[in-house]
Amino acid sequence: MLTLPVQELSLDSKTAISFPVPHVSDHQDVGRLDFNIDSQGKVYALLEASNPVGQGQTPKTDYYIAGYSGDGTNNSLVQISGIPDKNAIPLRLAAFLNGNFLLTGNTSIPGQEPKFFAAILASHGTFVTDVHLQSGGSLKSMTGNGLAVGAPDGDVYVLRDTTPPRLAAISPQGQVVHELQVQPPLPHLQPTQLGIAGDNYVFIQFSPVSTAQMSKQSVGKMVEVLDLANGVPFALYRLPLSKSDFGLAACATSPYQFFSLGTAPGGGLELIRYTPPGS
Amino acid sequence: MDLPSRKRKWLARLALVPLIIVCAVPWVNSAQKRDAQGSKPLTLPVQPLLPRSAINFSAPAPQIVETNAKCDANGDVYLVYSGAPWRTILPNLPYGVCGTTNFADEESISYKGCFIRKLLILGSTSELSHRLLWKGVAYPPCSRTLA
Repeated sequence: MLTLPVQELSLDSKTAISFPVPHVSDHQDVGRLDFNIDSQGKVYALLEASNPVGQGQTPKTDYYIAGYSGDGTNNSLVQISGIPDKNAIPLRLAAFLNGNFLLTGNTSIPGQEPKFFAAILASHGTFVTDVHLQSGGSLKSMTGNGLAVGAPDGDVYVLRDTTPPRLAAISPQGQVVHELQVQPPLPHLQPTQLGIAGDNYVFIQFSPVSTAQMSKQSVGKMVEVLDLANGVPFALYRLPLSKSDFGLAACATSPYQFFSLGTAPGGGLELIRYTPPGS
Repeated sequence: MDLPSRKRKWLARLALVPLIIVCAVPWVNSAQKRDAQGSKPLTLPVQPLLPRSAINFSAPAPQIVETNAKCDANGDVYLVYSGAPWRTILPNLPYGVCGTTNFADEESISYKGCFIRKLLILGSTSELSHRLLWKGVAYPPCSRTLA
């Protein structure tokens, strides 16, 4: 799954552009951990690659950031370096407009609960600074942890799936501009998606993520829209249960318009536009 | 966003301060206010999202989709999906899946002992169900248990 390309579905041209996982020289088992789109539409991918250091030795995992041009061609590849915490495992990436990156993930120490970490990287992949977020308690799940999105205001918004989840606005220099708690609409829902909903709003999709809950068709997914100016909830939506779509709020162009991936009656791919009543 | 445009944006916001002074508290204070009230969420009416129209592509419909879809300012959607059956895709996972390669009964399976790296939620429209795939590094060795 992770070696499948990222696909861009253009609303204007109705075409799909592929952004494949690039080759990393002297490495094997290259896989994509995450990808991100900056506010200007440039695509980046966070890669992990196994570095065979020698016979009989455990392969070393290196991490890279790949950049792409608009036609899907890989045009940059930088190795992530200088992270002081040797137990840090990168999981997600977000791009700032100034070229810096926000890298988030977990620290992995055997016998201990994984902890969240976040760091600022320069455009060439080197560590700049840690990001110090308020303690949010232990992580509830990996699903919605470290979800990040670049906003038009130049900051990156990152979500931690603590109890309750916490949303923070982080500047390109690593300062925590804002931070607040996000209350899931229902107790059994966890964040699975974070996105921008127009210039001044962010949306969070909440889904039931345990296998038992997921198998119950009565449990629906919900989308909460937050006002970026003050962090106050602006709207709360329930996604329909449909046989023709994935219940995935892939995109929002405003607090009132969402797009979801679906299957057309003829078996083709379609993007379904959703709005609340009266819009 | 460059610095001058950011300044302009903040100046515009400053002009609105008298009108929105109540809302202009920092996010942290807003969160603290919620804490003082027992972490109760603000009550918002739940509205349904209704399908209004569809944009068709020539590509085949996906069988599986990763949950981390994103979009740009133009509304173009970026996502990872495959039109192939999910069982044909899973063997290509770099790290495999903790515990098992048999997914016949995965909806009743939970995985313990795995350090979770990533959770993929695989949507399957034909079966109207979602399948959870815990992608992890097996340390200590993963064990599969029934939920």
